[in-house]
Amino acid sequence: MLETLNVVGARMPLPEAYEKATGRATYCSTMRLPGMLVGKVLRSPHPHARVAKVDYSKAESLPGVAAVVSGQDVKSKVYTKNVMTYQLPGGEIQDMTLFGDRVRYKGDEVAAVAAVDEPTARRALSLIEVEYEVLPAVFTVDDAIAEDAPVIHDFAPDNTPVSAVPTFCYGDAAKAFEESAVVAGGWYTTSKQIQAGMESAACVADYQHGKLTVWSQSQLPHMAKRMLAHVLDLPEADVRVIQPYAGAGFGAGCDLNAEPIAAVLAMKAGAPVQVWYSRDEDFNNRLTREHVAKVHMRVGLAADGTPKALEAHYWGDAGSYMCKTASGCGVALASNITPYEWEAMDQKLSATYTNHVGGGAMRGFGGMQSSFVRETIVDEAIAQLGMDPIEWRMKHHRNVGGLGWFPSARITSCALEECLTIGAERIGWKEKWNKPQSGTKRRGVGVACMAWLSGAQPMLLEHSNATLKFNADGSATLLVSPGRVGQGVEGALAQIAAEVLTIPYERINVIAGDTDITGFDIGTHASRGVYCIGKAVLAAATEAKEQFLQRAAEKLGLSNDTLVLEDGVISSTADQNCFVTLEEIALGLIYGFEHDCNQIVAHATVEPEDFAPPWQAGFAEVEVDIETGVVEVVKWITVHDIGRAINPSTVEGQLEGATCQGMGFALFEDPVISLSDGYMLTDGFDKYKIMSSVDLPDHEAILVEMGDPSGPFGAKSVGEAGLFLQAPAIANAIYDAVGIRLRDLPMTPERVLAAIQAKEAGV
Amino acid sequence: MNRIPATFYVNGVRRDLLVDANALLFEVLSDDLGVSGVHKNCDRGDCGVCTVLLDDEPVLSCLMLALEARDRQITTIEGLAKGQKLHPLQRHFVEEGAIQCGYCTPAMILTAKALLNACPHPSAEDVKEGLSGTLCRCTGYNKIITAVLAAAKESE
Repeated sequence: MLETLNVVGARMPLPEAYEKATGRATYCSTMRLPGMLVGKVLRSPHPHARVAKVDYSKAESLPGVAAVVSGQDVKSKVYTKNVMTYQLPGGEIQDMTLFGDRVRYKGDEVAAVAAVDEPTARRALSLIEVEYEVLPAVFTVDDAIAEDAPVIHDFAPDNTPVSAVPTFCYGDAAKAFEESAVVAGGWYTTSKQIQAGMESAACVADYQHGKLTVWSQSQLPHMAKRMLAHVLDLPEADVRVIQPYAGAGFGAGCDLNAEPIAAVLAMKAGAPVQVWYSRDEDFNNRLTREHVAKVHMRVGLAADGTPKALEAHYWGDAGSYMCKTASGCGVALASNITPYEWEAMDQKLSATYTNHVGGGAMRGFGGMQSSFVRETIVDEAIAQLGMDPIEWRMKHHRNVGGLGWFPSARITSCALEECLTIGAERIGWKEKWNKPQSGTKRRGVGVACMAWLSGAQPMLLEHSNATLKFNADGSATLLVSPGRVGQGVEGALAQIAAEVLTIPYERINVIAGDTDITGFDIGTHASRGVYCIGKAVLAAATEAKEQFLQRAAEKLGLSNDTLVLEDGVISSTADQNCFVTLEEIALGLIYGFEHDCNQIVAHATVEPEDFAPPWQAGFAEVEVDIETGVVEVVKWITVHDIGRAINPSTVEGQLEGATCQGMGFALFEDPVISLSDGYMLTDGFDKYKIMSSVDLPDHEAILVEMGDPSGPFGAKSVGEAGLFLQAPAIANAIYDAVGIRLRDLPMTPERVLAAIQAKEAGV
Repeated sequence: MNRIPATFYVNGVRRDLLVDANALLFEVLSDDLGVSGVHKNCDRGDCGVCTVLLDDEPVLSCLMLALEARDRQITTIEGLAKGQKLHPLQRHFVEEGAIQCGYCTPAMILTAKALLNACPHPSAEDVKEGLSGTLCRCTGYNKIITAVLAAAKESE
């Protein structure tokens, strides 16, 4: 059991929730600056073409138009919207040019206008004359790797700049497969899920006196600033990124959207410009989930169940620009390492260009595709040996000190067995699993497990800073820079600081969302907020506490080590009547008249060394209608090894929300890309279904708190963790109910029914 | 464009405006009246995020012509709190952790208010049904349902 703390572990309301509940919160889409113009983007009607000529003279002369821009207005800099390129020493592939002379998907940016209102901006777009030389295009990986396929990027003549690269291999896989009693495997496909936050892509830019300010939904504001400076050829000092609240992130804020375009328009117009995508524009042009189009995996188990070998090839469909497709495949391979003790692993990845919208990042980056494939194949192999899937997982998972997600990382804590035990009891595993079913509606239960990470160290740069400055009343302002996507991390960071300083939560005022004010931070991705930024806050608060103790020691004439801080009061361990409050110290250091003013400001920088994997078991009970193929989830349980929940309410909220996204990935979220022009046909919530309140199955999230030695107060991550296991656990439950193995997501009624019919026909 | 004089009662305050015949209620609220708590997403009635109350009934402000709301009472999220005192629904949304990104929150709270007017003692199923026209991508709805039930209980 973890020791009980005062502020950490309490269900505190988030300060930002008051603004959001009253309509006072500002988002990029709700900003209305004086004189602000409406920006609109002219997009390519062709999936692949050369842009021979752009003539916008007619658009420019339309009354109400303030600026029109195209390739002639910008320096031709190669860049990428994927600002995470700065987290790898060599960077990731950069293959974009703003308003370049080549368009590579239907929707690619050709020009843009800024006008007084939307109707004028739309009319102006229709007046821009563009000559295209249309090129042949391809929309699937298989077509893109054909011998006579058109070349999408000249530097990659086979359209596959990342081709079967061995990644994270160890041991002798061939030998391990030979020694296996059972081998299971096959080809799998997964969906290019859409992040689908309720606010479409939006940004505002303003340029005054040589300084650019961009209001952005970016989850990674400091790196967004660096990329904007690069693409616009401005000194980094002249770019400021401000984050209002974003109408959700889920990875969509890991890439730039129209920020460079809004900036170019604002610079030319001399007025602020807002670009706010319509919903169909958002579906078609915002980078989607990293798209691992197909996966081949095999696993081998010894007769006693010992995990022998895992072999995998993850193949990404990058779409028109690489962005995060290759890295998504890489993370999938890395996250296959942690869960089980394979004797040998042999994994590789490929990424191929096609002519549709590119793949960015979505919550569960790479881990979705590792969990679904690995956990269903393992289930298949376990079933062939006639073993219980829970017992097998209990026995063969890796443990503390074992290999982590990245070869140099080691596991610091593991509560998977507790998660499995609690979940099995709760779902009624013993009573329900492997029971013969009859009738047209058949029930089954399934389980799946995963281990994720708390920040992407040591593979990626995960640098965070935190600063605490104290007011004269002993309260503090905490400067940090996470993404502001609704995940609630700012409250948790305040709880960490308040706990160390023994002051109330309300006395920590968090300031975030402005690169001119906050210290550098990678931002929010890879479930890093509470762990990585939390470690910086913990270090800054500890440093502040030392400064207070030092000052108290001087004031009381005692040495530091004889003093104790409790409830905002520093007192002598020997004499309780000898004390001074933090407030008195803070006041004296600001409004003192002894010529020793020295406001307490504490700063800390961290680059965590450990990845502190949270573990998780997911349990599904399903009912499959064998006449229609409809799968109803009767019950969903997530049991999550959080280490320590800084704010249990926020942690549950993360897991519960992720459950709905995971169900969507598993069962119905299915972006359909036209095979004739690459356009996304599912361009609205009427066609791309996300879960509403009436679709909601009975679901719950249970937390296991056993602490992690490296985490702030023992905390590990939760951000992405909640949506990995729905697809594999539901697939395994469907197998338990009707005996079919599904290898393609989402598991739509059509696919389920086809598999049932194939089984009945003995195919 | 022919601009038409129209009177709106927004959160109890009379507003006299000239509006375009084809202006949407969302546009008048957000652009002409500076109501920042009304949000918009899909423009076609799929998401419910633009919901406001018109004479206490939820309507989609992005699909309604402003002139249809002429001379009627419009309630936006700004109309719920009394000074610093939150409406019980707002308070329970905050306390239950029912708010994440917050973009759907104004619509959710206003829809819940209309639901509780019509059905003061709802079951969890009633709440799910009543809120089903507004999408939330963040929360998984559990804490929203709990917050609405808690607000209903409080008014008993």
